[in-house]
Amino acid sequence: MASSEATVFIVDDDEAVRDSLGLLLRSVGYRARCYASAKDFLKAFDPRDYGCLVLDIRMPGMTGLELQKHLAEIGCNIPIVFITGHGDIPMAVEAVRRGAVDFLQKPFQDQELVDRINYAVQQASEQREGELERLQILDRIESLTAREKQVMGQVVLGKANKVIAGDLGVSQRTVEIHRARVMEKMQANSLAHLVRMVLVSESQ
Amino acid sequence: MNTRAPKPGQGGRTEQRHAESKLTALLNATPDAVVLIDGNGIIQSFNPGAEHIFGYSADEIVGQNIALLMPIPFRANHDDYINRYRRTGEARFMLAPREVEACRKDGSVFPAEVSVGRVEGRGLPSFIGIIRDLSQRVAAEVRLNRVEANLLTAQALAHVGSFEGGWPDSGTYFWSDEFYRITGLDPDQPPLGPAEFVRRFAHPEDLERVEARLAEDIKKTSGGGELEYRIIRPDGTVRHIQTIYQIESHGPDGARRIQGTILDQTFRRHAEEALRRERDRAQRYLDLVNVMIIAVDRSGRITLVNRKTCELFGYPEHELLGKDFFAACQPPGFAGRSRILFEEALAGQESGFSLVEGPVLTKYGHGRRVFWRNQFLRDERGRINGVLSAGEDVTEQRETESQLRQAEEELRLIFRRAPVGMATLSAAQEIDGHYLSVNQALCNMLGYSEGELLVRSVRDVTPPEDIAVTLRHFHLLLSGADTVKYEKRFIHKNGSIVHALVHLSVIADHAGKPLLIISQILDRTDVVLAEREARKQREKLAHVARLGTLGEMAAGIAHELNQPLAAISNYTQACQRLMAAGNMDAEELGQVLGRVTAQARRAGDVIHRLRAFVRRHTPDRRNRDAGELIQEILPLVEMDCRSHEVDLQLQFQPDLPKVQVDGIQLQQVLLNLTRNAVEAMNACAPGSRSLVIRTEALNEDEVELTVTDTGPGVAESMLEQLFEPFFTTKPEGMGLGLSLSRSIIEAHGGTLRYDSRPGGGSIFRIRLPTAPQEE
Repeated sequence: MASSEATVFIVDDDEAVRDSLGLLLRSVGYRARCYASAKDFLKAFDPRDYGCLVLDIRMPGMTGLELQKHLAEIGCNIPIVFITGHGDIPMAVEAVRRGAVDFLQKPFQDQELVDRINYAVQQASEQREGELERLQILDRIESLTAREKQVMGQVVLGKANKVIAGDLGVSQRTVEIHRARVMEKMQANSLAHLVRMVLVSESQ
Repeated sequence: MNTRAPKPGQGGRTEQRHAESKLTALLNATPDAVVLIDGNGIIQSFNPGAEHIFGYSADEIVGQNIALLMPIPFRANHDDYINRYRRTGEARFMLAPREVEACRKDGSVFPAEVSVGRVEGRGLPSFIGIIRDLSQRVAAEVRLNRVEANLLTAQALAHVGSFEGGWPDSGTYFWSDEFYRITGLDPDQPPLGPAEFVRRFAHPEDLERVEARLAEDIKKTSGGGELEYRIIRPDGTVRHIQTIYQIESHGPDGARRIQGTILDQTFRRHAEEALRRERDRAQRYLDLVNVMIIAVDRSGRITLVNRKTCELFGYPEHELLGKDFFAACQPPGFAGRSRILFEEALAGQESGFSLVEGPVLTKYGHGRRVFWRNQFLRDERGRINGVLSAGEDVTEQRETESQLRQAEEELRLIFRRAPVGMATLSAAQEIDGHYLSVNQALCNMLGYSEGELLVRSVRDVTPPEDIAVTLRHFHLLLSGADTVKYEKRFIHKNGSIVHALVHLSVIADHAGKPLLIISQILDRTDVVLAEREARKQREKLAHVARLGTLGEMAAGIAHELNQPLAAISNYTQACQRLMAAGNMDAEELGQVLGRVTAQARRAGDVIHRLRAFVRRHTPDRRNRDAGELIQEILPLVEMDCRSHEVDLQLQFQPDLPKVQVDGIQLQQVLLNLTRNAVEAMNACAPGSRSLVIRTEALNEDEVELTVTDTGPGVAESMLEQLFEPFFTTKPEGMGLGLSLSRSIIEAHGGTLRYDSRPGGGSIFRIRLPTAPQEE
């Protein structure tokens, strides 16, 4: 069973489809919120909300694909499961290429949907954990002095202490002391750990 | 000539014989008829006079009854007279001569004087009759009477007075009574000498002339003269007198005397003047009358013409007078026959002479045609001495008549030979519909002979259900419509139906009262059957095209069906899960099942609508609201728009007048147009795809439905072919949609056309006539 914290947002212009989807998702334990159009959804949605989006690919006004594009633009990466009609496969493929979790063709088996929702929520949850780690790392980076940040920048590039000392115009000893402070403040077990943290901090 | 004397008595004496011979001589010499009859009326003797008067010979008449000599009406009674006389002595003819009528052998009756005497003898008495022929005497008397009457008349009419006396004026004079009467002078006035009379009574205008004459006569010693002059009578009236006089010398002294008559010529003068005036007036009349007057004598020479005659023939009057009419005025080929006719008429052998029509020849050689009324002219003794003719130039009239006849003949031929059926019917108040005439084409059309049709009425060859419409158009025509055109059916003799277009017109008299109905009947059976066949084919094609349209919409239809199916699937699976987890009570389940049912119905509706649209149907035109018809297919349009991300807008005019259409066919056209529009807009970005369906009443008579899209429109180069069959820009299209749509709309009396939309796109306009008001 998926985490009950997650919310499934359903956007579909067909009321019966929307309503039945809602019922189906509630039956498997998700909290479901239904919207008749992309516009209604955007009005109600908070980017910090946790969950996934079930989106009809073909809608009057803003279509599913347009909504996907819009969310990416505002930096919201909520996982999306597309629901398509017959003959919309090329559009669905395009959607997945742009980062959608998957698509389902109507009508579908409930388990298929539940599997994809679970996967999406899982992804959301992972996204949320990754985000927390990044924030910790950023906090740690914030605790470094300017010179320490300078030294860390050189260290993660794989430079030897002697080279760093030459580049910065300081003694090798001074570099060693800064490097030890960085490893300590960043709570890094190894150089590889430090490199991964710096990469995470630089993502997005 | 022998005469049978009465039979002498037996043993006659000499004296008696002598008397008898004297009697016989007398009998033979007298011009009178002497007839002896016996007591029974049988003729015993008949003298030469009797033979001459009656024409019988003595031999044949002796022994016959005397009654034979009487006119038939008196014969039977004669025996009775004789019997009565013998019995009673009553006599009618005895002794005194009487005038009676007698009868000759040849049967002619003549006036006669009869004296009858009785001859005594032994036995029965016999009678002797003396009969004198009065016919010549009667005729003479008539002549005498006439002469006397003429004399009396002459005496009364001839106002002749006389005078006598010395010459020149001298001594006493004598004037007769008539002289006084003519001159109007008092009888107490003593007679005057001629010179004095003239001086006193002659008309001043004549005085000089008369006195000059008298002066001449004064020198004469003898001789006569004649003078005419006017006198003024004492009462002031004027008299024309003619005087004839004689001067003679008497005795040795040479004294001269004058003796003369005067004759009152006033009335003759007046009569002459009146006659002249009358003649002038007659001539003027002759000249004025609008007919030619021409008179010819027995030889055919022209003796009189009027101005009109001169005008026609081109001659002045003097050139015509005296000319031979036949030679001068008739064409050579005709003159001979004409003269023979003339001569036969003069001889009384030609009865058809009074009205004659023939050619004439003018001075300039032009031929004209003249209708003559001829009348014989007779002299005072009643003999024909010429012919008077009144002629009328009928050249133009005959030409017109001939043209008319020709035109009539041509019309008759046109009527007979016209390839369309034609008939005439009486326009009398109550139309009985009987044909007055029919032409061959109509006979062929209906399979009857002319004779068979003429004894039938329109009703007999019209199907019962078309009789009302037929009569209605007849009445429409007679109530003032110039012409009436309508379609109706006829029944062929073989029972088949003939479809016809009938065109009626009416011929009225000058007062506008309809006389005749002319009916022209065009056989449209082939056309009607062909149209019917074409409609059937179009129907089939339309059906195929509808299937094709739906085929093109398969994606949309699948989507439309998928929606309810997906919903149903979701609902039922949700229920299964909730039930399995024990999280659903019966009430909630009931609610969800209700939604499932609704979605199942929704899917069913889509199928139903598709079937209704695709199904073959018999055309059924009704008065429909175009907006409602669009609403019925709206789900199909909407699904098409949805599946192609097209924005659909409806602009319906409320209270749109109805149109008389086959609903499915109009929906097919609309769906075809929206389908094309949706298809066309595939080339554009999804956000700019807009389809507008609009209804509008243009006026009382026309409704317009437009389908507008924002696609690329139709290229200029393709506009001409746009509505051609098999023209298409779609790879999988048949190219029948627009051509079929147009033919459907046109079959409804409407139009379908294309306009390009300002700013890009297409506008297809359907215009339909509004339905007639429903009763």
